[in-house]
Amino acid sequence: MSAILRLDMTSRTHSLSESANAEMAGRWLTSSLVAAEVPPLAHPLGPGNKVVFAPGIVTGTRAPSSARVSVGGKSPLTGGIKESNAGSSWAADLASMRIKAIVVEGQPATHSVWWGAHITWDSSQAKPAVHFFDATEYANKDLYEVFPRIYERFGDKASVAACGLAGERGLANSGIAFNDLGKRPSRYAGRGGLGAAMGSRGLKFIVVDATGAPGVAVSNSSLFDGGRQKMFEALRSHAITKPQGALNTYGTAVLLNILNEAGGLPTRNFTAGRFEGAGKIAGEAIFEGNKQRVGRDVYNHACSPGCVIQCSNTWHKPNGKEHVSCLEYESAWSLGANCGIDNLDDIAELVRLCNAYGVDTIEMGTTLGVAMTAGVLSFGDGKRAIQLMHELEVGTPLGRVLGSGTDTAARVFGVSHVPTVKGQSMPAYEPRAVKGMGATYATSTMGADHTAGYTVAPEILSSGGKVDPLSPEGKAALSRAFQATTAFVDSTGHCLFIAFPILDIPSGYQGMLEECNGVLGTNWTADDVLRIGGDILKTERAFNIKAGIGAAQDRVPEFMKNEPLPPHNHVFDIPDEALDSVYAGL
Amino acid sequence: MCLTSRTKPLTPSTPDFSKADRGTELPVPRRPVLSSMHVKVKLFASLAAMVPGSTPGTPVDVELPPESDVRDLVSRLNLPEDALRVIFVNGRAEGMERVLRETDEVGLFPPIGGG
Repeated sequence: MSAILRLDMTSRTHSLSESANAEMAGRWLTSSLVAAEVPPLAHPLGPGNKVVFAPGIVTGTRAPSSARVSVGGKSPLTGGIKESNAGSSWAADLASMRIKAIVVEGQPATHSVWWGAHITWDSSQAKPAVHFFDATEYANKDLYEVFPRIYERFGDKASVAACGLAGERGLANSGIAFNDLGKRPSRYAGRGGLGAAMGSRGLKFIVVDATGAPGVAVSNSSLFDGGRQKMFEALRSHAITKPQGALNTYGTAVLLNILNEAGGLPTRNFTAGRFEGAGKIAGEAIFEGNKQRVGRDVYNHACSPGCVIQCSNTWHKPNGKEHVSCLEYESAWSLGANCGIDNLDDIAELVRLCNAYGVDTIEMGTTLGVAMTAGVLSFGDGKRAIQLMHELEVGTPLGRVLGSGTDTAARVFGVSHVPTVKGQSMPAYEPRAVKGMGATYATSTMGADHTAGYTVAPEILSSGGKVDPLSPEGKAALSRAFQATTAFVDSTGHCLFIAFPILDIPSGYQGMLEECNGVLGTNWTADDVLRIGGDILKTERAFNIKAGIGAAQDRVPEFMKNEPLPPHNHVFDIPDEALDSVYAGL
Repeated sequence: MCLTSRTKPLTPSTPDFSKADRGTELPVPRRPVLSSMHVKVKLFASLAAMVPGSTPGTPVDVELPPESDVRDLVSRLNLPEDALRVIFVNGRAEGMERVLRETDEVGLFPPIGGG
């Protein structure tokens, strides 16, 4: 059985059907379902939108670092198709119930009641059971307060997906929170406003308990086990992903110093490529600060079961108590360098508030950056930024503006220096200094998205090759290759960080193929990775075109073509024809 | 050094051309040669721990013979070459053979990644 579970929020009923294509999972499945079932011109908050949750091909198996879920829908932020991805036990639990996807569709006639869905395994019927519960008492509250109550009600074995108060209010910058291994509401399918897509279905929670579930069906165990072993060895031996390697020691925030050194760390709303305070908020500073405050070396932990990379960090307060987990590169950058804030305690509080209210940290930081450009608050004023987050919670008009994303805030405040593509803001790599990322931001179906085609690896990290980040040559093809491969990896259920070892270690790449073939009974090779990845991108692009998002939107903002960025003083100079060739070449 | 105690200003010695014998070659003035140069080096992530007294990102002043390259610098720091993955000189990625100049700023990274 590979079931599609539908939650009809109009009637509060559910149904199970067999999945039409047993191979599809993760992003492949969410994009396929969204493209087939959501009218491209549907209003993202209206009755036609759907939210699709799909674990990956090997999620729920013993494949290492594979507990990821894709969440798809029409994005309230971009108006195009969206796939957003998170790591959580929730993903593995769903997969072990042999649920390929949950499709949340319809919406209640009134919004006076909030609902949760509790999904358990009914052994007597050998299928999932669904019970809708009134979740109104948990609405409009800090998720850090709410998650413990949900665990108390549904038990320790539960996994929880939730929209926060931002999603309840239909704010375009709202994500979907998932539990981490410490039961914190801290893992996010953050980008693109899917929290509002979920909230507009009237659904606040999906609580999953996989007790008694049969586990993922594996077609060829010995092939799978061999592949799994290769993947495991690649992850454990590579300098970036190994125990006490870069990610386990410093977390993703280890990137702050290298992007700063390269002159590609977007600073003060993308006006410079270096931030003088980068060293104070980087992964090394987090490690040292923790050491001082906790009194010992603090290494990082796993976000989800089966992860051997374990890159999630925790920032501690001066008294040694936990402040927030975790402080990712993107969050430390957007709420730090991009806002001119160099104080880790302020950044940690901003991250905690984003998690509490249910917003994406990247989009929040770039929204604040635009507000700072407009003079709503000063660059560097972390304390004022924290106050403005509280306004978001209270729901003042200013708070609502700030919760609606970077483009909206820029429009309200009359700012032209806006770092967005297709309505989604750029993450922590400056297109004028890391030009392949400019190509990815411009052309990705997701809007400006860094994970979609992470050319940073060869351009900055000398990982999987080495190319000059300041050269415009060859970047369209590079971005295309990364985008297609990534779409496939996003469908496997693996964390995208497997890319570091598998790009360098051929047996690791082979392991990924054998894991998938072992589970599905397929015979995929590297050619199929690009074929499937390319098909996913074509499906997404076709949806976007029908939604009114086409080649004219495959561009970086005007100011990046005109204003040289210090310290290297480059503009974004990949020609439009080259950008158009990214999809023409698929 | 207290300059006010000097009675005569310091001047570099120059040849006395007035005494040159016409018809013979004029003496060639010797250019002063730098005996060493200084570069600033920042070590990041796990590399900082490999060099005593350095903290991640804080520049360390290193004195090197002129015409030294990055390889010489790495050797001077007692870093194993294979510990490095990315070398920046003044914000541009370079290789071991890059010749260094006075006031160059070098950033050294081990293999790192993220998202």
